[in-house]
Amino acid sequence: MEHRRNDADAVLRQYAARAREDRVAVRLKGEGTGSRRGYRLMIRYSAVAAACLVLGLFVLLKRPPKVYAYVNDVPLTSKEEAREHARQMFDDLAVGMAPAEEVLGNLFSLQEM
Amino acid sequence: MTAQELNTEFVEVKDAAYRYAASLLHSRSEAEDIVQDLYEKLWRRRLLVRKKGFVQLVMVSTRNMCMDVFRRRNTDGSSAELIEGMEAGTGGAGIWSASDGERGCREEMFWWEEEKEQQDMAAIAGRLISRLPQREREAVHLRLVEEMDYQLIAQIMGINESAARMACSRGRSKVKDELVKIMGYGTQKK
Repeated sequence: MEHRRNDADAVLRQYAARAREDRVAVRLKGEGTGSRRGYRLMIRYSAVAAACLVLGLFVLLKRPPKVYAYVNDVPLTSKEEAREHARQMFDDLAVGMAPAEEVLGNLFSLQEM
Repeated sequence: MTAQELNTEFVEVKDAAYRYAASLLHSRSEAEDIVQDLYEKLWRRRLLVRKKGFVQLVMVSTRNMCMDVFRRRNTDGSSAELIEGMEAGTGGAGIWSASDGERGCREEMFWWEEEKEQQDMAAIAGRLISRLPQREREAVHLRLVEEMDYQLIAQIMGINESAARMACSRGRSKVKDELVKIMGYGTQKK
């Protein structure tokens, strides 16, 4: 009886050895796939950055220009033009003020007399 | 764990996981799918996976995925009973018990089933093991084929060490008794 149990043990060992031969093939992911994925990510991020840049430029270019002055309700976006208009306006004012200066001068001279 | 480390570690344990899944599901193709799915999952989480306890992680995950497969099958009462047995760690008769052995779900033959030669005792041992109650079958498989220690078997099966030891011993004893009977057939004196 004992030798049969030993034989049974041997059979179980034999079964285990044969069962261990049962193997499976798994599709492993290699480093290559990982680096390709890295490149894909890099390309994706670059594309996103470029798109952001283009959008930023578009927003900057399409921004309404700065208005320096209004002449007859017309906005002036050129600084030089606005300065020229301002100079003209103050020159006119200077001319308009000229008679008043004469009157004041006369008044002062009368007072002195 | 880096990609290369994961590959190295997984290659070492994949066959054990496959055999374990095949012994639980009794289906080669499903076991293959489970091992591949498990690898994909581990690959996605490879930065969180540690080397320590990797074998246990793989085997426990395999067992859990097998349970999911049983849940998906869930067509008859026996599979429900098996899930309950696996969850509780009690192990009922299982769908591959002697009475259910010839039924349904299995589409591929294992080497011990393909064996036509009845004298091939290893094949007979395989058949006998496949007919053990689920818990004993699991314990016997992990101990006998995968040569794992009882502590790891207990961790994988979610039971304590003494229960694992007992299940293994009982299953092995049953198989040996059957083998002794078969080997002594025709030679015993009446």
